[in-house]
Amino acid sequence: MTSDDPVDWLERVPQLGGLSRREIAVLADFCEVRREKTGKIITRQGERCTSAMLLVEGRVACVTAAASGAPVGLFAIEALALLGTLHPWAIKTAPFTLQTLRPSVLLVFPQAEIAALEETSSPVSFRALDFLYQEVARSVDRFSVAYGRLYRYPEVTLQKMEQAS
Amino acid sequence: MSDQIDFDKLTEAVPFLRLFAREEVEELMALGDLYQVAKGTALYEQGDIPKGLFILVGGAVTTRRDVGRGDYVELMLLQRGGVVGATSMLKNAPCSEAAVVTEDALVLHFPAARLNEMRVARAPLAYRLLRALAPVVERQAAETVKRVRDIFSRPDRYREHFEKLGGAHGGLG
Repeated sequence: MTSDDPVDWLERVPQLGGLSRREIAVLADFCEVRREKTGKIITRQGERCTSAMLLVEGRVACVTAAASGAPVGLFAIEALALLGTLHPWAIKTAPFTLQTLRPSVLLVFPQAEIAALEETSSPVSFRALDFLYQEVARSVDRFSVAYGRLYRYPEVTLQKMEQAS
Repeated sequence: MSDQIDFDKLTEAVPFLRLFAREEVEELMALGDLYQVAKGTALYEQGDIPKGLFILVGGAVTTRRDVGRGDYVELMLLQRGGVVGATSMLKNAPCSEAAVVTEDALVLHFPAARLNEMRVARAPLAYRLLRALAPVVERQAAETVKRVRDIFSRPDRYREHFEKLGGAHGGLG
């Protein structure tokens, strides 16, 4: 899809299927479309977190830095997924680097806009935030699964360590 | 007066509740059950349907993920004031980890069915609760993220562990 209108992208989110186009438009006021080419670093580990991003198309790698500074790929994130953090006080700096593995489209929700949305007490904001909070929980799962895998496959972990040293 | 003392004691033990107005805490308390749980009891198991929200008024709970072959990894250790069950509650999907009491605990439990009724009805309190839980879950995620990151940024602290584990598993998979 070539649209740069967040409404068009939000309408494709199944979990928001019950919202009318007018309601989607209200939510769209809080975000903007960002297109990235393959290989683009979206967030660099250690940088200040300022937004949450909904990956609506494409694929992103979650990468950490080894002690040597070499990148270590942890896992790939497919659309639809929430990246970044909603609240500035929860996670202050990006824990990992996020890099596109193919052309990707992100809906960027600046944290200030999230705060504004949270202050808006309406059925639309309830639905939208409920959706974003669900995505937060799913992103938490991604990390606990990754952590479990690192333990489950020690040889792979050691190999990654060797490659990065 | 005694209500005042109880409210103060409760919010002192559970900082999470300070995010709510007194009337909201009272409303929440009416929805929840306060009970003791013995050490070794699972509040919920990995794969369970969401059981709701558990707030630790006392004691300790560990969350852990089954990684197969009888092994598990600890994700978090929570003590007084900690909140468990929030992730599965938020995503309204099966629990991706177990929560096991490691020290006799006093828990304030908000059953999932009651919270979901409020959520479906879009009750203002449900909205406030979800809003309060999201940053809690984000902070808890930061703990797990730190563990993942540390494996590679401080490999010397982990190498021996993985070498031992690799031997115990006898190979990949």
